[in-house]
Amino acid sequence: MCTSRLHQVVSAPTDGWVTVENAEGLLQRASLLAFEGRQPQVGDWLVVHSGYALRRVDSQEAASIVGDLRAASEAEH
Amino acid sequence: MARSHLFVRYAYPPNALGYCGPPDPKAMISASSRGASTGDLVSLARQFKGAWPYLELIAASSDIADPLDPRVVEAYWVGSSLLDNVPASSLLALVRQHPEARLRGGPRREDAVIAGGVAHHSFHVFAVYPWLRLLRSGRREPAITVLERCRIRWGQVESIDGDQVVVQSRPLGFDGHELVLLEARLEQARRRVDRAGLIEDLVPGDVVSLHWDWVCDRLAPEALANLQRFTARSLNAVNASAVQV
Repeated sequence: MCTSRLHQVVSAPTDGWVTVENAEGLLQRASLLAFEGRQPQVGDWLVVHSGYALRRVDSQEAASIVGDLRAASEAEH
Repeated sequence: MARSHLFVRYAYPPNALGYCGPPDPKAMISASSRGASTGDLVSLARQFKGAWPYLELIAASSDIADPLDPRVVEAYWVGSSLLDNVPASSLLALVRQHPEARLRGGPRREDAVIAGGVAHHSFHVFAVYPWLRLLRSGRREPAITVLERCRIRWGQVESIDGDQVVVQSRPLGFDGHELVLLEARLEQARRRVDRAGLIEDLVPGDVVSLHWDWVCDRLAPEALANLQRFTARSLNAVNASAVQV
């Protein structure tokens, strides 16, 4: 049902939560309870699933994936 | 709420939580209501990037034109003989091309297909999601909770109090190696919010399906048997495959 989605961090993490923005510009909070690696920073791209941030994706890979997602979305409409 | 389209009854709970689907959950309810155009619902359903490819595959495998045909939707969420029509090679191709694939590092989900996985929601939850891999790496929470809440589970209504329902159901557990179903316990679920619900006229003793914290549907005996059978098949597939999901 759900899929992992790429989100970009828009504000510094506080109390185990981080505010992120997806490729469509939608803001949401994600829990860091399951996060692997160092604390995310503003501008980082994260894989988020079911409300939990899981891992960081480097900016080059993120740009490629976001570009593909946007192209696929435009092709559908 | 009038009786919702079957897809909406199962897709609404994670959509309302913001985990998947269109940004406004009310759009799902509106599109599902009597008089709304079918095109609206199709447009919204396509935004469920996890479920939609399975609906298309199940429909195509049974020569059903509409992926939102209730027979197709029931097969994906609950399970039915339609799943037997889906070739393993097609499921394998779906898993490899699924949007989830690009965001995962070195998965071996193909093993779970080969071990008997089917195009059922439970297979997607157990084999395609990242949570079983995290569980096996020792991160019990939130992995086991997400796996439990995201699969479609079954239970029997014990009591009803306003918008809340107490249901007896068997939770998912992890014994260190395998996913298993534990002994039944009571859990609380929603049947409606602000007088809007996915299913009306529940009574104690009803057997129901649940997704996240919602009651989705009342299950007839055959549907219950299918949900149990296909959930067990998915559990067997991921347990037997030693898949590094």
